[in-house]
This record gives sequence, structure tokens and C-alpha cells, in this order.
Amino acid sequence: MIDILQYEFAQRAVVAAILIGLVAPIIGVFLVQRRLALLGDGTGHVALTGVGLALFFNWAPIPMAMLAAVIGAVSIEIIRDRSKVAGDLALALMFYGGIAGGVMFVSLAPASSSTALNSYLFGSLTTASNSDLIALIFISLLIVTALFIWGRQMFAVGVDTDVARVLKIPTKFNAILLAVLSALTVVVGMRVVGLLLVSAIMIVPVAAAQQLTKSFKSTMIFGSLLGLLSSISGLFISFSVDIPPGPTIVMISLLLFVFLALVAAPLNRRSRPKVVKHEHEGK
Amino acid sequence: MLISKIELNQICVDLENTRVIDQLTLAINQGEFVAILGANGTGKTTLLKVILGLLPMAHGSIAMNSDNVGYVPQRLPLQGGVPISVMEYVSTGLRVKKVNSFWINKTESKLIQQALKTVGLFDIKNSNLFNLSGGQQRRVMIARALVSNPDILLLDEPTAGIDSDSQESLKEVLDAYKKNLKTIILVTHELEVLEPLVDRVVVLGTNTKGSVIYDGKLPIPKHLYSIAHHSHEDSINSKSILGLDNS
Repeated sequence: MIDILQYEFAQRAVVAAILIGLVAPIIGVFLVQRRLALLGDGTGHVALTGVGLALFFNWAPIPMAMLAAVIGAVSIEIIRDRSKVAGDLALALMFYGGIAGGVMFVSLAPASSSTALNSYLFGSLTTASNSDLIALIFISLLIVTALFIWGRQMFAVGVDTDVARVLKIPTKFNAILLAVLSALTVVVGMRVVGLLLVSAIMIVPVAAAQQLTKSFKSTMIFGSLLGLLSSISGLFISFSVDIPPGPTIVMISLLLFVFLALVAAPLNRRSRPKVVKHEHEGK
Repeated sequence: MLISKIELNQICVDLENTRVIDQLTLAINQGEFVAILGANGTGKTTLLKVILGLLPMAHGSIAMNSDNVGYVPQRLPLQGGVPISVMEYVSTGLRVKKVNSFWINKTESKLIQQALKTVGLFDIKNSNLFNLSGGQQRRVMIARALVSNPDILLLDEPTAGIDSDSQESLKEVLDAYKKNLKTIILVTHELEVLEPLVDRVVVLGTNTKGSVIYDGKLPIPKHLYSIAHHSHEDSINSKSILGLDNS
């Protein structure tokens, strides 16, 4: 199986898989903390419209997907800021509009574009070019740098927005920043996992990690390692069995979640101190 | 040391087109421990949030001579299930700069550990916050408010739903804090254990749109007893709330 690494497409695939495996759960942990697990799905669907437009006009898909995903994520965040119900509705509209727009523009594009659309929907590393890879490395570095600069603030806002505001942390800026970072992550994952499943690699490793961890940072690190394990093992399985890498990677991360939830978490819980519940919940 | 003084001048607050605080004027001096009491819906928490700048005013002004403010909310906000360690939670009370490293540095770590020692929870600093009892969680929330050594501390129902040991512990923490000439504003239904610390009580009236119907020392005049009676018919001893046990 290692022999396949002599091919350039496979080398690019491994680098892309490492990037998405490591980076996606780092953003995912912030999304899960804020109960925004579906935001990545919404922006993934919107990015599809960007891909459709790129195929229609014969432009580069990654910049267009990135533009569409960022606009979509920021729009959802702005509407969500106004009202939680409207935010939910906005997410639904993004889902429907994004996929409809993507399919519509691809239908209008040259015939070969339909095959290309599948590769963006479900991931296809064999078609990733060197320039795609450079773009992915650049976006990944951007995400990690933003987290080093604003990660503390983003965490504080996620823990308690009111207290963050009292401490003069710009809460709206941080919410928009998280939306943009999740949109960028969607674009990084687009080639590997596909737009329909990219959110899974952001969320599932986090859900698996938190079965065992006791802190936010350990969840982030462990989730990232599980993401890496899923993406690399999924990639090599897809090479050998000839199935798309996206579904394989997601299935592996789901299996890890099931294993940790059913086997490891109960063992871990036994070692925890007993919880004393509230005796009276005051108004 | 900063002298903390808060002046609320004829403030009016509207929530969903309804006036909930109308023409409220109040001055709180440095080192005072003020308890704000009143029935449900009289605007106690709203008043706290207006002082904190979390809610806008329709009219009036607020002057504070320190913006180093600590806030203990009524309860932990809803979480998505990601574990948060006690240390991490308390770290969110630190003043952040425009650019911060994501990781807690040594100086910050010392401040956090000191705050946890103050509330007697140093030993569980690495525990998951959501596995703690209600009383422990409340003390961690207080540690977070104290970690930046604020000049003014605002607490919303800090004793609600916690056991008597935790209430006693809270009393000790606030007593020590008050001795440093810090200002404390407390919104509560349950004055009980904190009563000896309170310098002044402000009672907001029912059907008076958040205006002050009593401002002075304990005990509260008996004709205001019904105010408390409305607010705690379900579970709490109203007499002790208003200090009437001592009158």
C-alpha cells in the first residue's frame, strides 16, 4: 500500500488529508461549544454554489468556494445574532439554496462538469493539483495563526458571552471570526472529504474526544489526533479498496466515536467523583 | 487603590417595548455592600445588567469611576457538551489583550490558582467544571469574577440553589473581599447567610416599574413584607430574606 506514495497525486492526497485531519477538529471544538455543529454543513452547501459558479464560468473552484462559504457563514452568523429562531431558519435556507445553486450552475456548465461536481460533493484527491495543495496549506496556516491570536477570546466568548462583554472582548467580531474560520475549514476539507461530509470531520472527532477528556484544550488536541487518524487511515483504505475517501474517513471517525462512547467513556466515568446535584434551583 | 463609586441617574430601561425600570436614581459608595431585593419582575437582574453595560438604557446615565468590574451571573450558560476544566473556566475572567496567546502563561496561572485558593477549590483545578456540584460551580464562578481583582463585584443570586456549606464559604470569600474596600452589589432572593455583611438594602417595588421603594439599612420596615411574600411563595422564608427575623 505504501507503494502508492510514489505517485504525486497520492503524496498530495496525504498532505491534504493531514491538513484537514488536524485543522478541522480544532475549529469543530469551538463550533460544538457554541452549539453550532451544523454551521459547517450550511457553509459546505453554500460553497457548492461557489463551485457550481466556478465550473460554469470556468474559473478556479477553490477561491469561488471560499468566497461563497465565507459570505454564507457570515450571513448565518449575522442573522443568528438577531434571533436564534431566524438563525436556524437562515441555516436551512443556506442548505437548500446552496445545493440548488450548485446543481443548477453545474447543469448549465459543460458536460464534463457533472463528474467534477461529484468530486467536490464526496471528495476526490486524485484530481487535486499542486496549486490546490498550496492554497490548502496557506488556508490552514491562516486558520492556525488566527487561533493563536484570537483563540483565547473566542473561547471566552463561547464560555459566557455576557462576561466576555463585561471584560470588553469584542464578541461580535469573535463570532464572525469563527464563522469565517469554519468556512475556510470547509474549503480545506472540500477536496478530501467532500462538501457534503466536510462538517463531519470537524464535529465527529470532537464528539469522540469529549467522551474521555476533562478540558477544552485536551478535547481540542485529542480531537485533532482522532481527526488525523481518521483521515490518514480513511485515505489509505480508499486507495486500496477504490472507494471515495470522504465517506471512508467519516465512517472511521464515527466508528471511533461509537467505540469511545460505548467502551471507553463508561470506564472513564467510573473513576470520576460523584456529582452533587442542585438542591434547589433558584430563580 | 481606586475608589469605586457608582452613580445611576434617572435611568429608564425598556424591554420589548415595556418600561421595566423608570427614573431610578441610586448612588453606591466605595466599599459598600449593597443588596438589591424585590419581587420577581421588579427589574433586579435587569438593573444589574444595565450597570454592567449588557442592556441599553432608554434614558439616564451611569457613572462608574472604575471599569474593572467582576460579574457572577445567575447560572452557567448552556453548553454544547465540550468539557471545560476549572482552570480554563477561571481563565476567562482574566483581562485579555488584543492579541493573546491561546495558552495560559505562568503569571496568569498563578492568578488563577490564587483565585481558586480563595474560594477553596484549588484541589479540583483540573476537574471538568460540569462534573462539579452546584455549590462548587458557583464558587468557581466567583473565582472567575475575582481573578482580575475587580474594584466592583456584581453578583446575581449567588446563593440560589447551593448547599449551606457553600453558602458559608461564599460568605467568607465576600467578607474578605469587602475588607479590601471593594464594592459589592448583590441581587438576591436569599439574603440569609449574607445578611451580616450587607451594609445597605435597596428594595425595588412591584408595580412601580423598577423604582426604589426602600433604600437603607436592615431590617426593612414591616409594611414592605408583602413585597418579599410575592417573590418567594414557593420556597423561601420571606421574613429572613428581608431581615425581619432580627427586627
